[in-house]
Amino acid sequence: MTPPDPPHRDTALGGGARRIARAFARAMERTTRLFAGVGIAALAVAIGLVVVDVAWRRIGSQSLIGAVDLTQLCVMAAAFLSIPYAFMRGAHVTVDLFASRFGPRATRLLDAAGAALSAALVAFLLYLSWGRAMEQWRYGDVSQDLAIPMIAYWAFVLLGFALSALAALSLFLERLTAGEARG
Amino acid sequence: MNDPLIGLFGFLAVLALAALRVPIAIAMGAVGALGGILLMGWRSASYVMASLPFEAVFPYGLSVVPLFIFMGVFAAHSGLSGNLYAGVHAFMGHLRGGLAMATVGACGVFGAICGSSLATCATMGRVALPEMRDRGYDPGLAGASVAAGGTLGVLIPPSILLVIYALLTEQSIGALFAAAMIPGALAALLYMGAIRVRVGRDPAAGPAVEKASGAARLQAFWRMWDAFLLIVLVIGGIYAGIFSPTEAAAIGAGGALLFTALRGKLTLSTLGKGMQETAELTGMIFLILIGAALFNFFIEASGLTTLLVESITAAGLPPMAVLVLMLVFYVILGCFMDSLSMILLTVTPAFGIVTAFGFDPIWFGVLLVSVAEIGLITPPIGMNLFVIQGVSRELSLRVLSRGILPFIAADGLRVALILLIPALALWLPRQLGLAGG
Repeated sequence: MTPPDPPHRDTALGGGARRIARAFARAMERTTRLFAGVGIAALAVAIGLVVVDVAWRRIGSQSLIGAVDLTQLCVMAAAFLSIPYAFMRGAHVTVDLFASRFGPRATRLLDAAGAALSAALVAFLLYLSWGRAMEQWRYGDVSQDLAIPMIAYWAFVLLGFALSALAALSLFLERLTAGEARG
Repeated sequence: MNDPLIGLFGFLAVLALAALRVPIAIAMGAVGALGGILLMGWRSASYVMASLPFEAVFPYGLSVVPLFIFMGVFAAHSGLSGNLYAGVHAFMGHLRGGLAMATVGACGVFGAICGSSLATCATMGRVALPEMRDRGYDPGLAGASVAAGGTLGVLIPPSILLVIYALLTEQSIGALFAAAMIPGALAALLYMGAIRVRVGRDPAAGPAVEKASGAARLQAFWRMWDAFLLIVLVIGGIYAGIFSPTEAAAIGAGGALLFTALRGKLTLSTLGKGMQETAELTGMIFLILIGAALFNFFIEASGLTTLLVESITAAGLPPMAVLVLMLVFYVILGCFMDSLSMILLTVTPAFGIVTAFGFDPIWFGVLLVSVAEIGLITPPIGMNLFVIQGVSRELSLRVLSRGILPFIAADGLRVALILLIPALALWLPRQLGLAGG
């Protein structure tokens, strides 16, 4: 059996890596969209809670106990579960000042480097937050009105950073392998 | 190397990383984390930084941000913008340049519901640009009037930028909203003046259309009821002391969703799109807040703010000259950075300088947001110009950049007026008892 010639083997390997990177990115797009949906649904719950609280104060002359605790929990969910989705949608603000002059290959590499730095930073923040969250769990800290364990709030921080690290990693791999066959 | 110098290099490093397409939130966060470790050592810095992302999101006051985003996104999907445009158009369309003025007016009213410049620009652009194109308006004037009108969303309350400034500098959101009202109205009037001057020189740029009848005007006005109701509920509710800002934002968000449903626009597709847009904006803003928390921790640790205040004081510059230099710096920075990142990147040292010189923080907040607003329409990184290009592909950046010049001049005049007459910003909050006299 004749072995394939080196250029074809390189292309095949490059094509394989590209396919895997794209599949990973697609999976992350679906996953982050799902979690963002959960986060925004939680925000809708917060809207409902605050509206009911305002109405109840007018009608019943008293506040809805725990509305602040629950609203904060919902907003933590909305914020941290939206961050990974914003990575996948390219919604995080970038400045296109010089890069447009560099050409597509250089721009792609810069974007890959940006994604790698993003993955590294959010992974680092996940590591730091994990330690603090575990402290909160051990100490058994709770929220003011409803005594919701603070670890429930921290869970969204950890989940958001973990998903963001994976999302940024998938973007890094996708950008690194895009156009590899040509390169 | 001394600590303030490390802080200064950190600031430059953020700008360099941003210029290399690193997301600004990541640039601020990475530099802040590394700088913090460099200055304080691993043990102390990691202890503080472990809580910063949580603390950047957790405060109850910050709930107002995603709620206003939700409200703005669904207001944009509800079709309110079309009725607003038709309503203002009925009153102004017969004037030369009247459609462009109606665009600015409708943007001002829509900005009072939306709170986001980009959303105002994109929404009104879809409604107003085809109309102006069909009536033979100059493309540069048409595009520029939407881009400039869109900036009113940043200044006219409820403004997400003002909310974030208020939370970071511990000022009253209500006082800042009240302070921005007159400057916001002034901005709209000056933009209309700029259109008047433009069509005065070149009448073909904005031909007049037929005058609407009295009945047609009344009908068009009546159709804007839901937009005005939303504004009265949100802004009126805050000033009447019925709602806190967070409650007003939740009522506004619920109201926007309700009006979308009442207008028959709340399909599954609209709901999905609205949720996606809310998630994108919410994720973007909160990651910038987290990045800024890390960066500001580093800047505070470096002592750069103290050194800046001491150096400026030692230089013997009059306080007003210092303020003018700061505003010029912001206008230049705004040409290259988006307004939120720019404010979050610089607010710690800027606020330190401003308070050290005894300026009113509410007045400075309005000035800061006003100059940030200019950055939205100044090339090469005028975000609103990009949005207009996205809405109307045939408009080139060159045509838009030329068309926007009279509006930038109007912005310059407005900032000068607010600078020279602080009462433009401070009179209303004092009347409402929201700011010190």
